[in-house]
Amino acid sequence: MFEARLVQGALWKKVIDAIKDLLTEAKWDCNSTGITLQAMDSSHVSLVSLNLRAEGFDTFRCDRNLSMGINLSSMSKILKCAGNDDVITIKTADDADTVTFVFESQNNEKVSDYEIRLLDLDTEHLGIPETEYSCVVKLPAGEFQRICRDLSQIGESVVITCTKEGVQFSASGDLGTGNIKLAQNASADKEEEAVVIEMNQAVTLTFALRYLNFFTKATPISNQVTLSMSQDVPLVVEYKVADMGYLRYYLAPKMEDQDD
Amino acid sequence: MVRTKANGCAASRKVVAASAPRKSLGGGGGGGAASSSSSSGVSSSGKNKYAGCNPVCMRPTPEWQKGIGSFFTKSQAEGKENSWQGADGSSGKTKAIDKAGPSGSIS
Repeated sequence: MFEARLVQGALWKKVIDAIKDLLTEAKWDCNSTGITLQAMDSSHVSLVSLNLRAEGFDTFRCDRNLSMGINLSSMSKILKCAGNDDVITIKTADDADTVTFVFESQNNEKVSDYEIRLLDLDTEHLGIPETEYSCVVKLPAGEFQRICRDLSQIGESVVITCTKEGVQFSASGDLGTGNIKLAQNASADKEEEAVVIEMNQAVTLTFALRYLNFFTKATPISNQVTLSMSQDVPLVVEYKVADMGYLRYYLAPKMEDQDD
Repeated sequence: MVRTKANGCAASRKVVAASAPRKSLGGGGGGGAASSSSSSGVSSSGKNKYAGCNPVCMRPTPEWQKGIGSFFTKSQAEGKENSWQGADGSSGKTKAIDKAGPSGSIS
């Protein structure tokens, strides 16, 4: 028996919205410590890693480890049936071939349940090493979304240059060039508007804007996003999911030997 | 007389027109990205600051893009998440990058 109840049901909607354009289907691994998901997009260019701890749920029960293969487009359609203020419970019995979503309105006057079929997915699990990154930049998630969106007008890739003073995002293309500089601003009035840089070594890396724009679909999840970068190592774009976990995206940079 | 009276109310009429519901809801012509931002749940000041302007321009994947699979080792079981995949198949905690092409196709 698996059952996870989340009063803040809108969080489920935001999480699915953040990954459904990148992943068509994924395996949700559930155990007594929580729910995890790891999947590559269909092109195997980027990696999504989601971790939701059991303590973050209002009730959480997982009698034995299970993996639920779910079509995310179907899951998104079902979750759109839930109101933003609904309490959402996800449950399935051991060895069942379906998963049930229960939506309860705040005053409990309306209760809906939807069942979707589970898929038998054969997916690879990648080991992600714990890494100390050369630069870790924390900035407003909305600002990062805006930067990626604006620079996608200019070119297909963005060059991120991180120094102690700040971080610069640059793009160039047929239309021209664009540069956006954000100064470090750790003492911003509002914590969510701060730009904080932790740096061991300055880096300049190039990334595909196509994927960064997919990643920024997670903006509604958190006010802040963290970019972790090292030379020739995949970028990590992390959004904290309330107090219960994180959603991370991984994307390889342009490698040094690929400079034109 | 009626006309004069109406003119006297012109200012307030303008105000009413300017606060038409669809405009005051902040959807203001920003395209998809703006609307997704407005449904975000991020603080209201954040919505106004970052919403609007250009929609996302969907770009192709650059030719240089490597697959993510060449950077991580395939783990058979959980708990083996401690090493980078090296080009020679070796692994280590420091960066050791496979410079071969991606294992999967790139769209």
